Amino acid sequence: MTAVAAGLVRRKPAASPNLRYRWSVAVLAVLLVALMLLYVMVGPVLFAPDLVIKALAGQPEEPLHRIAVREVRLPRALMAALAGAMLSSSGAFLQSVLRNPLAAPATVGITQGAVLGAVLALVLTFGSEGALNDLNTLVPLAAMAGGLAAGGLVYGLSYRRAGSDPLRLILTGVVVAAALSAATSFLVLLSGSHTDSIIRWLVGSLSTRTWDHLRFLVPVAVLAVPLAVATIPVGNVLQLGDATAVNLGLRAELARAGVLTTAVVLAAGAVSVVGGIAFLGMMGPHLARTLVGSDLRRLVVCSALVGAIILVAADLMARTFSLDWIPLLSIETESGSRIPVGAFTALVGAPFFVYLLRART
Amino acid sequence: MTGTEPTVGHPSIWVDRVAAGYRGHEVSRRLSLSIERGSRTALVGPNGSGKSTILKTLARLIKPLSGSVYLNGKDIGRLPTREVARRMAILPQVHEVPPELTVLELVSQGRFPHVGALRMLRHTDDEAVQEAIRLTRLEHLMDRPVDTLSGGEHQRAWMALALAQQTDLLLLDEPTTFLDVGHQLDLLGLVSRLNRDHRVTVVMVLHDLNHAARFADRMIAVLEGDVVADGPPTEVLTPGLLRECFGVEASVMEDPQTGAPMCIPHTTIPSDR
Amino acid sequence: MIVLSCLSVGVVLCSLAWGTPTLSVGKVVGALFGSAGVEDSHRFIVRDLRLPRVIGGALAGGMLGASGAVMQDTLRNPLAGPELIGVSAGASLAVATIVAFRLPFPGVALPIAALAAGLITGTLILSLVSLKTNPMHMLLVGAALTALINALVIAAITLAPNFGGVSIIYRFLVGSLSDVQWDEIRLAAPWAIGLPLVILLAGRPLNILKLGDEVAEGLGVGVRRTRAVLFAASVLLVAPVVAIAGPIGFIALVSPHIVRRLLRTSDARVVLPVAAVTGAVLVLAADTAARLALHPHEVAVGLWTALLGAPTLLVLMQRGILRRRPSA
Ligand SMILES: Nc1ncnc2c1ncn2[C@@H]1O[C@H](COP(=O)(O)OP(=O)(O)OP(=O)(O)O)[C@@H](O)[C@H]1O
Ligand SMILES: [Mg+2]
Repeated sequence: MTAVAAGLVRRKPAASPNLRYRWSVAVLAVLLVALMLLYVMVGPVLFAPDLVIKALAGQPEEPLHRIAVREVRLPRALMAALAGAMLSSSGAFLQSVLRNPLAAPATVGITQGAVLGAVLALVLTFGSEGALNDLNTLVPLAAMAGGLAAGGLVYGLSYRRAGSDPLRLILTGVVVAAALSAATSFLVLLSGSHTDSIIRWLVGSLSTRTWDHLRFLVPVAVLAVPLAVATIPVGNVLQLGDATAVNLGLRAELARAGVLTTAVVLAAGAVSVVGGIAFLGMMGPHLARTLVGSDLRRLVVCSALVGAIILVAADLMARTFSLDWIPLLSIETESGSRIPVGAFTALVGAPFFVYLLRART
Repeated sequence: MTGTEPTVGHPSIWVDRVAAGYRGHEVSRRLSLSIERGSRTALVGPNGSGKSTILKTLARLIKPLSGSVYLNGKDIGRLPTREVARRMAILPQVHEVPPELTVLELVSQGRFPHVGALRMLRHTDDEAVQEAIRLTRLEHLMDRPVDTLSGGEHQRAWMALALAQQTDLLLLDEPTTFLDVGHQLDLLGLVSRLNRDHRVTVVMVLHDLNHAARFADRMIAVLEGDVVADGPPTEVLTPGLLRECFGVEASVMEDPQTGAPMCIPHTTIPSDR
Repeated sequence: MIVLSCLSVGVVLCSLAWGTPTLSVGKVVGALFGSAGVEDSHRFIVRDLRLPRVIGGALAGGMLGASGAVMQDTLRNPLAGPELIGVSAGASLAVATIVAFRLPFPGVALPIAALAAGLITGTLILSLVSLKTNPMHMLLVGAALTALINALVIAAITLAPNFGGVSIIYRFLVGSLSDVQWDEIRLAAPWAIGLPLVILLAGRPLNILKLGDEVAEGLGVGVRRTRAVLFAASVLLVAPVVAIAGPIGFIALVSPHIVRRLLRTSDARVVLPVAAVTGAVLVLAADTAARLALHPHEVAVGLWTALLGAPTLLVLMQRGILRRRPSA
């Protein structure tokens, strides 16, 4: 009798969260590497894995391979992984500090601010030579500034004498996001015939991304790492509510500002090179949470991995569907994909999002 | 309990002519109060009388509208908030938890004031967390997400968080809500033991007057923000007070086992308030 | 009321008169009523270029204003508006797909497709969030849905065989009246009958719904059915607008709030018609500004409404339209 009762009560011992975490990270990392390899293999010219490795190692069988792999596909794959990781971990920070699992850079206006900055820079430099080739470094800089400014604006607008609070931050964010995207559309008017490149910014796209863009993104990511490390424990406490945070010796308002800063830097950085990718910032942390729970120390790492995987996979699909499958051996077709990757994340994101919300209620 | 050397001569908490409340809504006009080191104080009073407000003011969760609160003789508003957190823990009346956060992860956050933002948890921290979980009898629920717990288990998890803070002052706002009668006694017994063995000073809001009388050595009755009675349970728990404060007719007798006063409410008085 | 009617007459006249060329009021009236002595070109400009646009704008604004008022009370959410919860975007996606890919549908199918898509999005969002949870939830889900659908709209437009350039993006992402001519008016006119019907019939049930589900049931109103019908009605008002002019934003959201604030009432029987008139005035004013501000460029009207509406909404929020809501 007691034995039965004990058996009923104890049930199957669940895998300890730590073990689960290690396994999740390992599996996700392997998956990411495999996907990136696949990414580099697939294109107008299909490369076998050994060719890829040779090309990466600098001993290509044909110089063309080296260019295709090292100069075109590899930077784009790295970019997808890095930007995906940044967007998704930004979402993890936002969801914890705003205490809402639906918060994301694109729902509170950070993404829209960065996109506005980018489009503004594009429009202002139209006259000049080479403005539209995407190497124009002014554009990511302006995007970064736009994202940071949008974050500041949302925070400032929701600040009252007693400080800010998550509810007000979100409501303000949603409205600011709407206003900023209207402002962006306003700029589209002035873009004349260059709508194409602007659309790529609106929806988010990785086409024509090269090492130069990566050179911009990496310093931002490097800057974000100490920020993230410093704000993870703080965010962990803050997600238990302001009262508990104060009880545990945290200045809640300062802490919130700190965690928000991390989130804004991460998101603005990512958007400044890949544009306004939808859904990733919401989807990534969600999937990660189902794997490793809400402790930010684990959640952020896992979100980053999941985000990287999603964006690499989505861009791979975007590229693959744009190839037209015409056996053209020219590299030019590699550079542009007609379907922006953001459309793919949205397509994948939609059913997932619906499923997620249903599962919660 | 931790390395905080008691400042001799000062009461643990001293409230000096404090107006407590919220912007545009003053709850307590001019409150003065002193909580002695090693005491067990129970705050009682009807709903909305201001008990939580007073407790939150003691815990610097809300700023006094005027006046000051002193912790070990120092103005709490000027102490670094993390230092306060190493000396005082509060269990608030309402909690927020993110989904999927496990009990262990929640309780570990109690070490935050000791660990700091940048350092990792150490072995001693781990022990404090395990101890808190053991004391609240949550071992078997350690890896369960907090938002899937029952009301009582939930409450105990938060209690464990406060215990993991290892402070020598505990402020508890209705620690026994949601608990069944066994766990209520368990928790109040635990509080008494902490008080007896580790000289932890306890201030708690309790709705059960009999529990208050039995587990506290001092009762403070609050009505509309003001202290209307203050003293040992035998002096405070009287039919007169029950009538004035709660509007009930009740008889008070002595608990044959513990010697504490005990009340049995009979009827409410039709109120003209 | 008097102020509002003067305002609307003024706005109508202004939007007929201003532009290239700017005409005097006398000439406008002359052109409208066919008096002699008006140049043919002016008559053409007023009657065939500006008049349909003014009528279209007024219709659109009126229907949006009423739709917002109905939706906010039905869902008991002060921030419910077709543009924030995804209904406009959904409808726009349907229309954009048909137009961009030149799908072989007759013109009358446009509002129907918009209605169907709007209803689908609306049902989706209502099935996703419970009305009892906090208002923010619906907003976030709606914002996410809108972002998603907008991405799809952009994808549809860019993938279409003949990319129509900026103006088509405008029309389907932000809303623009520049394509509205007599044909479009004819398309939308039959649907406009819904407007007076809703204004007449919806006021009372809305007032009861506002009291809360339990009270409403107690008063003998079938809450679920009433809510479904009213919600469908609000979508019905939006669909034809989207079909001819795209998802013009913030009119539905802001007009009812302006009315409630100015008239200091939340009685739906009053708010509904006044919000409709307010919406019409706002759209016409915005459209006139849209035509003139950056002349010779034309800024789509939806941009103006969003650029002006969003700050207005923020101000209203600061003043606490959300204050009495349950907190998160
Ligand atoms: N955040 C707040 N802002 C304004 N007024 C508040 C706030 N919280 C509480 N009050 C008001 O302050 C008064 C005292 O509230 P308090 O929470 O201290 O009561 P309490 O004695 O703890 O009651 P209970 O037994 O129900 O917990 C009440 O009138 C309450 O409405
Ligand atoms: Mg209380």
